[in-house]
Amino acid sequence: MSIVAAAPRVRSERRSTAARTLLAWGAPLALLALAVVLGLSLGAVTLSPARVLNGLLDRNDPLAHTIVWDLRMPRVLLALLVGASLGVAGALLQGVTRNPLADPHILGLTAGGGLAASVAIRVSQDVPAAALAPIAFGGALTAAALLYGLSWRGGVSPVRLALSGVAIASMLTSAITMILVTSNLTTQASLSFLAGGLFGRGWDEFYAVWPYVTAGLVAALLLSRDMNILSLGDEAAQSLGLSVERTRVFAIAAAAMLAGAAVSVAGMVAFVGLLIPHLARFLTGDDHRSLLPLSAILGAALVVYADLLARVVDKPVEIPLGIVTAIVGAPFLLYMVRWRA
Amino acid sequence: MRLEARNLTAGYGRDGFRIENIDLVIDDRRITGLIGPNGAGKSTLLRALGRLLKPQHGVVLLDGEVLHQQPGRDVAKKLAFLGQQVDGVPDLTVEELVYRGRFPHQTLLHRDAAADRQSVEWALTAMQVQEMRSRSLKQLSHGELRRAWTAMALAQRPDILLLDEPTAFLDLAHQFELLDLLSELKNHGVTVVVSMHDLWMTAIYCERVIAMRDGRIIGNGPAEEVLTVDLIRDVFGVEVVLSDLPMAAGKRGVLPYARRHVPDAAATTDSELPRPVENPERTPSPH
Repeated sequence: MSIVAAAPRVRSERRSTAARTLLAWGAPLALLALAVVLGLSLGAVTLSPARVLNGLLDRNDPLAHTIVWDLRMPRVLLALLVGASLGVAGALLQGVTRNPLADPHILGLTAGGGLAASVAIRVSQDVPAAALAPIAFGGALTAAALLYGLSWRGGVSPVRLALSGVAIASMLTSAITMILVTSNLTTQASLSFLAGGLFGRGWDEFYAVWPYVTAGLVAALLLSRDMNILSLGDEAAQSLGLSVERTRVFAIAAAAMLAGAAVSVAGMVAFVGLLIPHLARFLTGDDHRSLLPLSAILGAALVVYADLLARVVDKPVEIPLGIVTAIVGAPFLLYMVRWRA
Repeated sequence: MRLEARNLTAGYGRDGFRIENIDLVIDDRRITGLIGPNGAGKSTLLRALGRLLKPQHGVVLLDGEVLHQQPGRDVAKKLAFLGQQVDGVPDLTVEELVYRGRFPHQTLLHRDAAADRQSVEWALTAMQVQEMRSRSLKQLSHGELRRAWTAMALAQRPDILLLDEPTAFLDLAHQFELLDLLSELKNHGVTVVVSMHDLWMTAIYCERVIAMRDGRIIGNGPAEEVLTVDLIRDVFGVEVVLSDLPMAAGKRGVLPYARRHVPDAAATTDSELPRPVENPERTPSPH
């Protein structure tokens, strides 16, 4: 039909131009690449790009190799995974609850993972990283099941989900605080868990969590089309043939998996899951097929930068990662609320 | 495609509101208007016919097959339901919204881009929103937004389109505009069932009318047979005059002018009935 080919394409002022798309994806990717380079170069010791390269390729520079490959590389990669997980988990939860305030922290998924991990740490101080990831993951999933179950009344409404989540989060967070303050962990150790941080994390932790993060991200991507339909409202989604409840269960489970993986290595990092989806939405609009991957990229970049700041601001002492993300993130969110909308 | 309900009972909860023992067949390629006062069960019936509400008894049949036993996506290719969409508007362009109507035709691995494109173009044209395809939903007026959502439902390529009060909140010109576009759909083979509040618009646009009260069907048939003075008094408790409209292709207008007129109040035992209207020209105030 010629109507199809000749259909007038009114150019949008908002987006859909090639330049805009390029910027929306190019800028975050460039930011992330820069974050990785800086993350490998800077720290307690500043390394020149040449030495970073030597270290990476293991060329006659044992010190650079130790710093870059054994210490910084796993941390940068972990920061990347944590950021991507939290960003995508936040985007999923904001979609499911249709609430711009939702994120894994506020809905208690992070706290569920955190509670399970802190109980494990309390019981035995030297839980191996490989065990902590599934424990935190189980905790986050339990919190998710609790969240879903408590919101159920012949179906789950987005508003009930958000409200139950807030209640569960505060309940679990106080339980964590209680366990940590009554334990004989040093203040520094419990604080770094509560405020989040990647201090001392290495390849072991990376190998332990990457499968969970990958599975969660793949699940999120597979759900992106259904999430688009869900965002039209329950009734519209249902009449388009979507199984609304099933989609919600899968999305919450994927978010729990990602949040659990993040909390198992980085403790409770606030604000990333809340902030990043807003930023991604600002760049691409409400299509989850680009919103979710972009949230992963932006989240990864944010946490790599935040971890870098945490390492260098007061070096050689590290400040908690969660504090950096909140200090950087809060004004940014305020900016978007105040001047975008 | 034939949509029918047999002995259908559906509703909310055990003691909540329900529609009961509904038997009906929706006429192919016609506009059927669903009328009745608030709480008559219009939305409930539409939701049950649209597979959104599971029957407690009886069945809804689509081409002879039980609707609620078929997968949602299969049904969504044949039948579209559009509610009132009062809760938040996603940040999308009109075209993006209409594209989402292709969801039932797509699977994770398979989509027919040409068919999608063609159906979307057809739907945009049918609802006359092709010129505003790149505008954000947030910039649209009520009438435009309603047409954009209807185009989304049409992109499903349904044979049957169920609409819950599509003209609510629209001004007169936009009501005519939307109903004109809906009337065109039968030329594309689409059957339309629409719940309506406005009797005048119902009389002008609907070829068939189903009148409901208290969860039951009171009248069902061609518009001129159902829209009578007696039936409307019975269903709505209002008095109307009917007038032929030669300028509107022989349609018969329905003009409400007062609450129920009772010739002799003493003759009835129903104490809730309003007092007789002395002057039928004036609408009595409620109290």
